[in-house]
This record gives sequence, structure tokens and C-alpha cells, in this order.
Amino acid sequence: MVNIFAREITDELTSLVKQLDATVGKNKKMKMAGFVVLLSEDPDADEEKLKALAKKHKIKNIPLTVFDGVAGPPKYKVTKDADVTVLLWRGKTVAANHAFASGKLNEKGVKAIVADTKKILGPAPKGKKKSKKRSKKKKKKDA
Amino acid sequence: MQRLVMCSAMVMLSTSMLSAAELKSGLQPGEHASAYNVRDVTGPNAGKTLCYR
Repeated sequence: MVNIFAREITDELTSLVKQLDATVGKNKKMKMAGFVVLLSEDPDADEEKLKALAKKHKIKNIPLTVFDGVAGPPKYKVTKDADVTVLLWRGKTVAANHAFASGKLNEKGVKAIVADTKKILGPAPKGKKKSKKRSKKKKKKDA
Repeated sequence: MQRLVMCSAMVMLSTSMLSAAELKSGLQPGEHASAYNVRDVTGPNAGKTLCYR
């Protein structure tokens, strides 16, 4: 899953969204997915901007969403200095992180994010299996 | 004195360049992504409030 947090819609963000939309489209069979979260003080007004963006650039594979509040979800620790924060999860664990201050996202950054999508392909890693071996203590107890 | 001023300026410059390149924001690799709700604007779930995690 690719989770993009953004605080404003810029040309660079649009380029990132377009390239990730194409990448997600190519990897649908591998169950890659993504979504954009615009952190907003005025979600109603920003909804219209996102609708226009999706229509103009034919964004089909990644939904555009709004979050009420520029700080973002508290548990995600999105710093106030970051204009764009991209998290790539595999299962429920973050596999890669990219963050950019205002005006710092460029084509090099976009390429690095797209390249990191390889890290989230394939099945999610499984947790540690419980050992079937019985402990010595338990064996003694049972005896 | 001049040398000291130049050294200080270089240290300040390199520190600011480093912080610009290494902006830390959001969950870091290995951390658990918890659930949160967003309002979907486009796509098949447009108009719904849901969690994509």
C-alpha cells in the first residue's frame, strides 16, 4: 500500500500521483494499491480540487481522499515541516518512507518513490510461528 | 578571527543542508501502520468515510 500525505496540490505532487497511478495500475495483479490523503483545514473546498485533479489527469487506480486537519492522524507523526510524506506499507508494516519539505519534491524524489514500490510487492511477511516444542519446564510438570 | 567566522558559517551551512535532505516525517520503516479514517473523494468509494489500511 502506498499512502501519500500532502498538504497542498502542486505540479510535483501531481507528477508523483500520476506516476504512482500508473505503477499501481501495472501491479494490480500483485495487489498493489495506494491512496492520496490531502491534509486539509477545509475538506469541503479541497474535495472539489481533488475531483478536478482526478478528472484532468485521469487518475483511476488510486483514490484521492481528504483528512480533516492539517496535522494528520496523530499516530502517523506527520511533521508540520513536511509538505509531502509518502509511506509504503507491506502488510501493516512500513517498508519505506520519503518526506519532503515545501518545494523539495522533484523528479529525482518521485523516481526514488516509484523505485521503492518494489519493496511492497508480493505477500505480506508473516509473523513468527509459535514453536511446537514443549518447554522442559512443562514436560517436567506433566511427568 | 576571519577564519573562525568562515568555519562557523561552513558548519551552519552544512547543518542546514543536512536537515533539508533528511527531513523526518511519518512512520519509519518497521513501524506499525494503524487505522485511521479519510473521506474518499474519487474512485469507487467516493463520498464514503473509510480506512484504507
